[in-house]
Amino acid sequence: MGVYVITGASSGIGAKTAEILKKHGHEVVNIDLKDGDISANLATKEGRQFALNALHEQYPDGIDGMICNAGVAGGRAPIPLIVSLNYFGATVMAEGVFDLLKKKHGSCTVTSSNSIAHGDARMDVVGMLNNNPDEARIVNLVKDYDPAGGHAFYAATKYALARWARRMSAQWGASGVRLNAVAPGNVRTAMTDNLLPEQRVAMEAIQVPTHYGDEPLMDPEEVANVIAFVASPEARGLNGVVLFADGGTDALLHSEKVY
Amino acid sequence: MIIDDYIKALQNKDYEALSACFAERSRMFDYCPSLVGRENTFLFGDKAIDMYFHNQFVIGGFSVEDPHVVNSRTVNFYANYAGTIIHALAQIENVDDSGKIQELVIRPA
Repeated sequence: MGVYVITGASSGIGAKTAEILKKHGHEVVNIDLKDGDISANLATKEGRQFALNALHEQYPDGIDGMICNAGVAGGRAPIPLIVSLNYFGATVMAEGVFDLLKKKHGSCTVTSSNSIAHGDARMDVVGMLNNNPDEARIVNLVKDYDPAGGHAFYAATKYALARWARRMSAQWGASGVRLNAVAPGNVRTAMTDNLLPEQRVAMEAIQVPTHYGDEPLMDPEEVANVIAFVASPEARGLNGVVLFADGGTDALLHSEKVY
Repeated sequence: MIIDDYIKALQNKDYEALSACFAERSRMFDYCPSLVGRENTFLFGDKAIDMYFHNQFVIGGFSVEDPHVVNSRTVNFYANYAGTIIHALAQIENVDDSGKIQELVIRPA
């Protein structure tokens, strides 16, 4: 059985993914701010380095999977936190365990969002994150923006994360490490429990076809099962994929985009 | 007439009433969005129409203004796609035995 590391697995999609992987007999390491096997703040450089040091110390022979899932929604969170946690908390952690993944021909799966397809993302920020990922400068640039407009930054970090995975996947795949993104739709999590009323109205306007006439939010397990599969050796044919796990929302709103 | 129900639903931004105008097996094509740099719309079935227009009416910025009924199957209106307006012509191509729309196509007028 394998060793899988998940960030942000104390609740929501991450917790469900950890539960599924454990059921499959794997060892799971949760890196989270609270209640983690490794407690670390992945929104900071120090926190990431602490977690990476701990992983290298505990698993010198390598790991089978890295699932970069920790993230925060826009709306209430400060914009710098969204940028630092959602993008740098994922890419720095993934790159930091690349050597461990190579040892076991493992996989890396990042949690993006189907909001990347809705045209909401600040594409200027996406460009900065992907092309000039200087965290301090970007954080300084966005620090004074109103958190109420955070969704555009949230979508930007998730868009950049998916594009980062696409860009890196060829080199990683050729090195024996698969790299993919899963893009969930609207899922019932701690993040969605704390939405502002107007955000909830907007969220419910993004319909999930498989939930038509029913609970508008997906269950975390629906996405967690997809992540667990993408991370597993059974999905060895997948690399560089952005897989929408949204019950068909993307197809509903963007049926003409087939690639 | 079904076209009146269709227009009323559009003007009221009532996605449930709009979907009720369509048969379960139906299709609605809109060729106007590409004129404003957006994806054209191809929807199949009343539930898809319900969900799609729930999105468009609430957060997508779609609305219809100043409809003029041409005949029992045709209406022209100003379609507002999030601030950009296209003069459009909606044509009911087919209805089923119960009078529900099976096929409707919207084109630039």
